[in-house]
Formats: sequence, C-alpha cells, structure tokens
Amino acid sequence: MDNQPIKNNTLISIPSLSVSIFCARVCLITTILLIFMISPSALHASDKSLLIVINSKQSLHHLFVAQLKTQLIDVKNTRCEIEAIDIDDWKPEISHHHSLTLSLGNRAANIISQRKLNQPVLYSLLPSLAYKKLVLSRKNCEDTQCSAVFIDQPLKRTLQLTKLSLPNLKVAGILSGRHHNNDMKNLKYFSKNLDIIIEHEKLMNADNLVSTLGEVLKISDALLSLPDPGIYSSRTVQNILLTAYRYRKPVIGYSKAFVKAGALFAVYSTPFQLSQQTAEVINVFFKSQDNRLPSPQYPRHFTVSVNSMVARSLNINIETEDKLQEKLEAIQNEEL
Amino acid sequence: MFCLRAWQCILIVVAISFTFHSANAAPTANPTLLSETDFFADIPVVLSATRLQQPVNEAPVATSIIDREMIDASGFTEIPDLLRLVPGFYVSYDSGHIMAVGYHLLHDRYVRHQQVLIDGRSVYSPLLGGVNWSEIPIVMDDIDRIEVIRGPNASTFGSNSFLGVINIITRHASQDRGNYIKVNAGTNNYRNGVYRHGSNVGNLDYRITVNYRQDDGFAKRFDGKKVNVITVRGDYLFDNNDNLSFKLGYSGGPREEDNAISSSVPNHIKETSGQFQQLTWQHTQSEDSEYQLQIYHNFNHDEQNYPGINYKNKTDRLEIEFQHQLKASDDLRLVWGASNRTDKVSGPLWVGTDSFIKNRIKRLFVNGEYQLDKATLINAGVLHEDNGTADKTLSPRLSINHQLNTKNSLRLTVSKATRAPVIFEEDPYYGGAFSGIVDLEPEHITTYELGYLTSNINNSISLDAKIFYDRIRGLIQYDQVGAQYIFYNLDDAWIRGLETSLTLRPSKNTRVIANYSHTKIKSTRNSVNSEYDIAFPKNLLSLLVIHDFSDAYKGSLGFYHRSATKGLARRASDPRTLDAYKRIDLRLAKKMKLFGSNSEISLTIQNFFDEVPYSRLMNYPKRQAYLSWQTNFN
Repeated sequence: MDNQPIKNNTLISIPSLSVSIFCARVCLITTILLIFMISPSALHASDKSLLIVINSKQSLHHLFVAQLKTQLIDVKNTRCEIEAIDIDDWKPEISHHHSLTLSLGNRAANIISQRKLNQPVLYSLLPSLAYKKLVLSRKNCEDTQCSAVFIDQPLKRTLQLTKLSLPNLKVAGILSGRHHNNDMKNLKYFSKNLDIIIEHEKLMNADNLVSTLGEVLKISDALLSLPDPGIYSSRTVQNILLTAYRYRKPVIGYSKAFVKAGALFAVYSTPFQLSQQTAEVINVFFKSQDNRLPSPQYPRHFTVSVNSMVARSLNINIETEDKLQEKLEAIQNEEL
Repeated sequence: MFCLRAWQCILIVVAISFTFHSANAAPTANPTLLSETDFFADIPVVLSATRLQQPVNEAPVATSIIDREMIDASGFTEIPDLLRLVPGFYVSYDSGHIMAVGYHLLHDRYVRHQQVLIDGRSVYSPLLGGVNWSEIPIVMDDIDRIEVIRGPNASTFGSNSFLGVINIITRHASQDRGNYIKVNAGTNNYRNGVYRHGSNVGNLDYRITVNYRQDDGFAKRFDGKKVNVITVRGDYLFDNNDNLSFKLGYSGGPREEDNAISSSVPNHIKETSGQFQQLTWQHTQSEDSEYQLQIYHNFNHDEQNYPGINYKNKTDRLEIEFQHQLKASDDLRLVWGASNRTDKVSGPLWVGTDSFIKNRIKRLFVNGEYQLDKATLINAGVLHEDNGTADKTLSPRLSINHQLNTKNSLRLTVSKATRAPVIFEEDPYYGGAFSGIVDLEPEHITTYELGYLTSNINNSISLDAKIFYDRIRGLIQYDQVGAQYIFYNLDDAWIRGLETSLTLRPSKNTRVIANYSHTKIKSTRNSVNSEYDIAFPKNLLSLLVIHDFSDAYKGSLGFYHRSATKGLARRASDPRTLDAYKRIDLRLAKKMKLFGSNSEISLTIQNFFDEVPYSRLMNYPKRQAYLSWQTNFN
C-alpha cells in the first residue's frame, strides 16, 4: 500500500520525459529525491482509503470503529482500506497516505485541526460547539475540506420533543455555565415558534448551584438541560436532579444516562446511530466524482428515552417512548 | 455527654467546617469544552426507586405530603405542629415539650399507634411507644419533606405502622452548600438559632447543622425547654452504582417538669439526651434493581430526679435492615426485605431495673405492585413479624387503584396490621404500682378505605377524599385490680369517617391547602381509663394560604379548628370534653440582599386572636409572635 502513491506519482511525471532525456533524467532524479526527501504532501492517496484516528483510551471509540467497519461493508460498492490509529501516533504524513481521515472525539479533533492537511477530514463523535471552536476557528480547513457528523441533537429537535411530551409546558428554564455559550439566539428563535418561553440563568459560582437553579425552577415548568460541562457533570447531575425533584419540576435530559439517572426524557443518538450516519457520509464521499464531503450535519437517526418512574412520581402523563419517537420522526420527515 | 452547651457545639462545628473548608479551597479546574464523554458518560442513578415518592394516586394507602414551602409558610417551630396540615391528624401538647400527635385516636400523651421514621430510622420509644418529639436529634431546617401515610401500612413501614406512618425525609447533603444562619426571637422567651455548613471533599458531600432553641412553655406552667441539637450527614458516591450515606446526631438539654398531673410532684428539671448513628448503603445493580443495606442505632437517656422518685430511663434501639427493589417485568415491581431489631430499655421506676430489658423484633416483608391493565394497579404486601412481646403476626394489605380517566381515580384498600406491646406494657413496674402478670396479645386493626382523587387539567385544583372504616381489637389499656394496675387487651373500637384534602392554585402566586376530617368513634368502655369514644375531635379543619405578593414579599395565613374532644390526662372531675377551639397564625416574609448575601426577614404571629380554651393542663398557647432572620452565604 505504501508503494502505491509512489507509482502514481511516477506516472504523473512521465510527460516530462518527452522534453529531453537529460531533462528527464534530472527530473526523474529530482522527483525521486523530492519524494523521498521533502514532500509527503506531493503524495497522492489511494482512491478509497480511510484513516480513523481515535482516542484508544475511550472504549466508546473502539465500539464506534467496530460498528463503523461493519456498516461500511454493508454499504454496497464501497470497498475501502481502513486503518485505525491512536491520536498519539498520528502525524499529518499518515493522513496524506489516505484519501479520507476520520477523526473521532474532541482530543483527536483538537490535534488534527491544528495542522494544515491536503486531504479531507471528517470529524465525528464531536459536539457542534467543539467543531466550531476547535476546527472552524483554526481556519486550517480552507484549502482542504472538513466536515462533521455532530454528536449533539439540533436544538429544534429537543424543543419539538419537549412540546410533544409536555404539551402544557409554557416556560422552560435553562442554566448555563460561565464559560459556555449555548446558541441562545437560535434557541429563542425555535422556542418562540413552538410557543415556549425560555428563562435563562447563568451560574457564576458553582457553590450557588442549588440556589440559582431554584430561581430558574420557580419560574419554569421544566429544566431544559443543554450539554454544558460547566453545569452538568456526573457529580452535579445528582444535585440538579434532586433540586428539580424538590421543586417537583421535570428535567429534560440529553443522554441516555441522564434519563436513567432521573431526567424525564431525552432525545439522543446512540453510538450505533452515529456510526451509521458517519458510514453514510463516508460512502457519499467515496462515491462522489470529485471526492467531496457533504456539509456538516446533525444526527439524522435518533432515539427517544422516557423515565416512566419519574413521570409517575411527578404525576406527569407522558406518552410512551415508541409513540414519541414515532411522532418526532414524523415531524422530522415532514421538514425534510 | 458531649456538647452540653449550644455555644460549645457551635464552636466545634465552626472549627470543623473551617478545617474542611480550607482543605477544600483549592481552585477548581476550568470547565473544559463539551466533549463526547458528556454524552456517553455514566451518571449515578439519582432518582432511584427509594428516593422517588410514590404518586398519590398510585399509593396503596391515602398519602399526604408536607413539602418545604408548607413547612416555611406555616411558621410552626416544632415538627409535630406540621401535622396539623394533614387531614385526620390531631396535635396536642401535654406540656410545652411533650407533644402528642394522633391519627384517628389520641387517647393519652403516649400515642402508641404510629410509626415515625426519619430517613428510614424508626424513632418511636421502645419503652412507652410514643415519640419524644422534642428529644429527636433533627433540625426542622434540614427536612426536605414529610410523607404521611394515613392508614395502616405495616408491610412497607414495619412495626407500629398501625394507624398511620409519619415518614420524615431530610435533604441530601449535596443540597446544602455554603453557610446558612437562622435566628428567631420572640415572646415567651422563644429563641432559636441554626447554623449549617455544607460542602464537599471529593466525592463526599457533607453537612453539619447545629441548633439551639428554647421557650418557656405554657403560661402558668413550669414546662419550658432548652434544646441543643447537632446533626451531621454525609453522602459519599463510590462510583455510579454505589453510594453510602451516614448520619449522626445528638440532642440534649434541660426540660422543666411541673405538678400539673400529680400534685405530689414538685417542679424539677429533667435532663434529656438522645443520639443516633445511621449508615445506609445503596447499590444500583441496574435501572431495574436496587439493593439497600441499613444499620442504625438510637440511644436516649433521661435523668429526672427529685427527692424520693427517680424517673431516669435509658432506651436503645439497634436495627439492621436489608431491602431489594426490583422491576420483575414491565408490569410488576417488587420490594422485599428483612430486618432484625433489638430494643432495650432500663429504668428503676419504669421497669424495675437499672439493667437493660431486651426485646427482639424480626421482620420479613414483601410488597408487589402489579399493573393489571392501563388503568388498574394492584398493590399487595405482607409483613411477617416475630416480636418478643407477642406471638408471630402476619400483616397483609391489598389495594386496587383504578384510573377512571387521566384526572380521576379511585382506590379501594383493605389493610390489616398489628401493634405488639411495647416493653412497658409487657413488663411494667412503675415503682411497684403496675404488674405485668397478663400475657398480652398484640392489638389488631383492619381498615377498609375507599379513596377518590381528582384534579383539573392544569392541576390548579386537586382533591383527595376518602371514607374509611377501622376495626380495632384488643386495645391495650390498664385497669386497677386491687392495689395494682395491670395492662390488658381491654377494648375494641370502630372508627368511621371522611377525610378530604383540597389544594388550589388560583394563580402562580397563590396556593391554598384545605384539609377536613370527620371522625366518629364507637368503643367499648371496659375500664375507667377507656375513653376512646371521645378520644378524637369529630371535626378537624386546617387551612393554609400561601401568597407571593411580589418577588420580595410573601405572606401566609393558617387556620386550625378542632371540635370538642377529650383533654389529655382527664380526671373524673373534669368536663368530659374540651370546648371547640380555633387558632389563626399569620406570617409575613421579605427577601432582601444583605451584605451581598440572600437574606429573609419574617414576622410570625401564632394564635392571633389569643383564644385559650379551658383545659386541665393549661396546654394551649397564648398569642405569640417571633421575628426571624435567615441568610445564606458562601
């Protein structure tokens, strides 16, 4: 496999032979020298070779890669060579040997996006905000292409599910951290269309979590949690859920674990659903004539989870997971 | 005992909390950018089956909740008073520091027919069966909510869950961060100071609360109290599936005792002290299975001496309990468990010895909740109890909850329970006046209950009503035989009635809670002490109106009425019943920023119209008022 680009490159340099034998020899020697000495960037990647860069300390990444591999095989007419490496072993040169690099998670994105590459990079298992802050802001994507399959749900979808699950909800409370800016503009826009008033409070000091949350809960019908490590961590979630429960207000979560812990419901995408969409994007890329990535996208496949025990305890009448899933999918399909 | 004076307690706690605080003062890491782990990381199950309260319309027995807002708005300063906010509960005072709370029956000051649990720890006295409310190491400010089960529910809550269960739940330690100070001062020499500090060290959340309170009791009586309390709670998260909670507490202080009951008793001081330790381990096996192992120890010591008589007594309770909650299938949820408890009492006057008399109680219980169809829920449970003071007993319960539609539901319950004699009933001495020659049977109750719950679409109106019929057999009462008093299973009682609880939320700023109960008792009168038929007010009404005038101002009004009933410690020469009585309490609170921290100042006036009916014990408060200031700061 390593030899292949060299051959290709040699073939490309053949027209220079017709100028003169001398020139040709010089050119050939120079080219070979260039190939070996300076410039891996002069290499061309194979048509269909995929490099997956993972954080091997995360079991999620291994699971994702395993699923992705079977999903790529499932897609017809896609035969590509797949190589997976740990981000600590990654060098730009390796990406240049592949027609597409798939970066998984924040750590890989943070390192890869610091370099200018001349092959496209697809980011997956990456929150939209991290894509904006790590990838787009570094402006290394201008020459080559970058795209992403985000891990987080579009705000609109979460709000639509909120309206479906709690039709009587009028005010949704939001707590955000000091260093984190959720897309409040978009949130307010979508919520207005759905007749939901957003009450937003910023937590300036972590010690005031309970009291600040209390202020929000007092005036809200539910707490809409938006992923924010400054607010929601495995430690604070306990406090947030207990406080909300004390106020008899439900928490709208964003992950399966959150629902299991005591949030009323959540819409999220499973690793399987995310890898499936990533495989679809890779397939589109390999099939396209000019090897172009589709634009960054939110998860198309999603799962709705409901904690019926919490619903019962809070005396909330909520439809079953299956029904909500069905209704939310119908809305999404309508919009497409 | 440690911590005899309030200021010593406060000094120790402040010192401890500052030590912890400085250890914890390292700057926290900057919040990082949102990453994939935020979406897929495991989180501990917080609202587990044991922490969730059962929805009122699915509970097998009528249930009322006293929440934090009601506690604050009521202006009450003692926990028993809060039970005025539950239909069918009658609160009376024997003296300024001996409260008696009864459900369907309040015959004497040693109300023996209720289970009282604090975070799952049973606190009724192993000696006399009642609850020494003022001696429990708990601070009202730490209470999250009180769930009151109106009816027998032994299969869930264990021994003594005979007429009802009062289940007090304190806040999780992570809920209290920083410092909290409250100072109350009012008429009748009422003073109350609370300091609480909450923080965390790694995965350990902890809270320390100290409280000192005092008052002069009732006018014309020598029944004041001084109460020092210190409690500690820690919640430690091992990992996402295991957590350990530990709780410690001490309560002590002098109580004034007078001659209101017996003229031969001179005014004197009783020294009380109580302490407890509790350890609870919870293991979440999966979303559908959770184990709990709990061990706790209560110890109380009262010293009450005057020349000639020594009332001193010690009581001790050690219980270990195991519980497993599981979702066996989509339709079936189960809780089963077992416990082993040892109650010990000593007291030369009470039981004739200074060394401990033991009583061992073993329990085995199972409860199932089966969703028959979408609208019908069946609850069934049974408790097997092996109590040293009685034979082995079985307490079954069966209920059907049927939802007529989303807003209306019916509940039909049949429940049986027993109450085994407490040690003093089984083995009394009382300076030789009592003799325990009779082999006592446990008291038996069978309750039938039909409940109806309704609410409108936005829950601005909700009503909980029930009619009930209790058949009680073998009520334990003493009778004089020759020169001695002997406890027998003397009497039977039949109690019928109606209870309603109405909650209105006419606007976002207003909440009205109205409770009414009508109770009729028929009973045998097999001794001069058997006055069960008049041992509860026929009509009880309570009303609490809470209104937010603005973001800063909050007001509340409480109205409490009871019809005529037997007074506690009635003599033959006293009128058969006390006159009807009503009382109005008012509270006005203002929130403000003071020195940069959130503060609240409030004024509470209790018994606004200063109505004080005649009673032998002079145990009705005059109009009283107090000012309160509380603040939170980091």
